[in-house]
Amino acid sequence: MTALRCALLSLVAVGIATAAPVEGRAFLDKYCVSCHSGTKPAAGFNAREIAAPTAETDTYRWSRVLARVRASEMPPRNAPTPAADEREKFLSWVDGGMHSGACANGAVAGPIPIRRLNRDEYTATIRELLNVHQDAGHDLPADGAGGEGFDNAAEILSLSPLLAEKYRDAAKRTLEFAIRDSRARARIGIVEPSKSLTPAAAARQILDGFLPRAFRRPVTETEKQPFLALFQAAQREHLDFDHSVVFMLRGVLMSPRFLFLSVPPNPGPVARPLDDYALASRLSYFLWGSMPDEMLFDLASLGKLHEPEVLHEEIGRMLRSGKSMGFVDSFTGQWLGTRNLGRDLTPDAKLFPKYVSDAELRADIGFQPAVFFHTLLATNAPITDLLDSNWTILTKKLATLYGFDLKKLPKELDEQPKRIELPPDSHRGGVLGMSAVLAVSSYPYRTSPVLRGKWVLESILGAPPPPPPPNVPTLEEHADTQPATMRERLARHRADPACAGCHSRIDPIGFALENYDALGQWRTEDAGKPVDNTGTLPDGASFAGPDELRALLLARKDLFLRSFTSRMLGFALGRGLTLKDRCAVDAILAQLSENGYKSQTLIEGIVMSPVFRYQAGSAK
Amino acid sequence: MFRRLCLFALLASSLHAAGVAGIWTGQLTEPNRDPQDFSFRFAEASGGVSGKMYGDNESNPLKDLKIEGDRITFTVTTELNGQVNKFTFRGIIRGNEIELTRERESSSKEKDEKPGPTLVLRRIA
Repeated sequence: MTALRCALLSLVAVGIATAAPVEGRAFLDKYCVSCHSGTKPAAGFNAREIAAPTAETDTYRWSRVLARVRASEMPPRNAPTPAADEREKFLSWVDGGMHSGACANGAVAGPIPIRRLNRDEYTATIRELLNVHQDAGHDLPADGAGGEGFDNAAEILSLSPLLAEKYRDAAKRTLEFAIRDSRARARIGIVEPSKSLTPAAAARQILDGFLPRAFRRPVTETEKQPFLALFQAAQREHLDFDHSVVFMLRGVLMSPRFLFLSVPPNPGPVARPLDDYALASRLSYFLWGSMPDEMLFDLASLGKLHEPEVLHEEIGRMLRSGKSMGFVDSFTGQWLGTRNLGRDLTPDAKLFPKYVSDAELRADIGFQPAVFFHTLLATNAPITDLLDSNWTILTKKLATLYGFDLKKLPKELDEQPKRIELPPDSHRGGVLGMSAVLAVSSYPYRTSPVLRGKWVLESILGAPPPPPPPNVPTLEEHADTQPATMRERLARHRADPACAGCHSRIDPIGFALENYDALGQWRTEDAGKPVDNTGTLPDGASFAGPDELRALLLARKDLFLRSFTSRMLGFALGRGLTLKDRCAVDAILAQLSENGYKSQTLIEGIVMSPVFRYQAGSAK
Repeated sequence: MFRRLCLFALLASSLHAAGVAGIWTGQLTEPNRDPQDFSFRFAEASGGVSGKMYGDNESNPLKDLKIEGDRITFTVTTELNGQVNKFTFRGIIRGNEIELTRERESSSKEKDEKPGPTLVLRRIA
């Protein structure tokens, strides 16, 4: 059973193209109808009556079938189980039917669900809006991950009453700081009442400038009234002018129009383009994780932002801007899992004292993946450089950690991260040679080929293995009988048929990375024995060491590119992808292939896609 | 005759002001430095043209903005962490492109730029 759980995983992990579709009905008849038929089919699902999979009919049910059969939850444990290739062919039949139907008309617009600004977006937006350089979202709880695995997914960004109170407190604290700061007062547009300007008129003047920026679009007179009423109420309570303004602006920062990203519903049957202000917000929260700047607002006000050549220019400008580090840091930290380093996972202090004692080294390790990706985007380098590259980002401390001969590196290498051409046989190309990645795919005190293999399958190939079956003993539970090396311990683990199915695909990938210790330092010995970095996948593909693993991944880059594009699209849209979004992914992949996998082609392909620039109609 | 000449000069100036109205962007490339983005907005104003230079956080107004024939000059003063820089831009308008040179006078001990690098702006909106 466990072996079967890995049926799909095995095929995806080794990059074998899915088999040709077969008549999936035979599978349903053989494994499903005994429970799912008759007058009272299990779970209300009648396998005899469901129409063949397409994008138009029974998509919800087929999605459920796909998910449960893929996860080996169906057929259940006590029922006859299909062979791995039988299951794979069935999944291919369902998936292919739904996919081809969904993409009959190419990429199409999708839903744009309302979503709250997450903690990081809130902090960055407040910084831009008020010009205050403090962590306004410090006391807000961290947002979880949803959609394609990111904390900007609409699915998880709701607002509970308790959270609303925290936003209220954050707004109060930040505005009370801002009103005393000259730079913040200038950014807010504070004007003082005078003989010729009543307090109410001054408040209105402030609101006229502030409210459109806070709401990220022009506002009507009616929309201003509630906030002016707050100012008047504060005045009636004899608050001074500044505190009355703070009271008014607190209302603005608590408004759903500030706290949420939303577009008006599209009730019609036909997709419609986003207006330029909504597009400006969509772009800026994608590429900057913050509100639009003055130029985006101006382009929106001129009605020019949606024009392809203007969008092209703006994408380039936004990616070159330092503000894009917000996007890059958030995306890479969550995609690679490196955000957890130093939070949920810290290398062991006794084994890696340098990591614990040297704050600069910790920062360098943490920044390397994000700065690498930022450089990749700014220079329009190929996305495949993430798998392997002849350059990386180094500081002097990182170079020392990686065992480079500093005399052979450029003299200007210092504490600032710099792009460095890698010497031959450096073993440091792409993300797989980075300390942060290798540390988060290890335990604090030792490497784990299982964690690293799983990490590669999940983060690089987009094919996470299923969770281990219940009651499987961990490696540590047989410490007294364990042989010395990790490879030998895992060999015993794989001898158990319950474990072999998945681990024969996971472990070899992890073995290839065994030359890196739990902090990513190069090593040739483990537990006093030479490191054995060889691995063989079930399809017979053999490799030794990280360089050959990189070559293998590059040879099967299509899986990586599809996974990476899907994740990036989910991040850009701020929601999980639907079946129809896969058509946009197909179109972007085709553009990438035509343009040498250039990174800006990916970003531009996403922004230019109908799924990013249009809103689907809700009427059938 | 004098009135006619004045009227003609005013009309010519307005035509040029209308000609540059819009948003212009370009990149300044200097040796051993990352390319630097510059964006400007010119707009018709009463009696001529006004403008601003977009910044990372906020824009700066263009001062002493003059357009004579196809020639354009203006200055921008920026302040960062107490350091004031005055930039003078001079250039030639060629349809949807403006070729500018930049000179800098700094309040700090940093060396002034004279003559400065060339920047080619293209109109995007």
